[in-house]
Amino acid sequence: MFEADVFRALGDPTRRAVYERLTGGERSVTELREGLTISQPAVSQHLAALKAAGLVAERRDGRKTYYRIEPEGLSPLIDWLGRYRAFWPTRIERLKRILGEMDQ
Amino acid sequence: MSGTRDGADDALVFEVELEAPPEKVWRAIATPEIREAWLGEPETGAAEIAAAEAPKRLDLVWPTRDGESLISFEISPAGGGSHLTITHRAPQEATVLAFKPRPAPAKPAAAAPRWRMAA
Repeated sequence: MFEADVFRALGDPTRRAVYERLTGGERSVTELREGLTISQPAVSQHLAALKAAGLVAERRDGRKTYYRIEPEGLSPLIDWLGRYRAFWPTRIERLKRILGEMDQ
Repeated sequence: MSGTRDGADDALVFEVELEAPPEKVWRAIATPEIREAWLGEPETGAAEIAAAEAPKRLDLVWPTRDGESLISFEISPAGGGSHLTITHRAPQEATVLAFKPRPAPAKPAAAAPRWRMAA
């Protein structure tokens, strides 16, 4: 899986809404669609993209497919946030120092 | 002092109190040579100005190895100095990911090295 896919997959608001709906637990496509104004094929397409990005896993039970969050899937985003959470404080200190050295 | 909030979101926000007036903070952020002296260069590629409104706001496209991120600097007067809000949004493509069927990749073991997308 390409890490960039995680960022791209969550960049779409509807897809993100589908993903967030799964934080409540495993759901079928029909259950996921409730309350959303998109067609079932559109939901399936978003789920396929989420699955391709490693964010969602599926389980078949007879004719029904259930989807759930793949907890490892978000790690690229979490890593990214961690990297830049460590980046900024040192940069902010450097900015303060430079402001002290600059002419008015 | 600097604070941060991000929760479960995809952006980092830092609130910074600075002793310098907004015009001076603006110069430190908007002048490329001064900015590079404290902020440095992106992991890959070059920073690009996406929007500028002196001396209030500067948006910077900041390439990272995971894609283009966006840094917004918002400056407002506070006492004799400035309040600076830095918002750094994780990369996200605005375009909808085109659905392309592809062979299901084997699920990597937890210890397997993750792929990094070349910039």
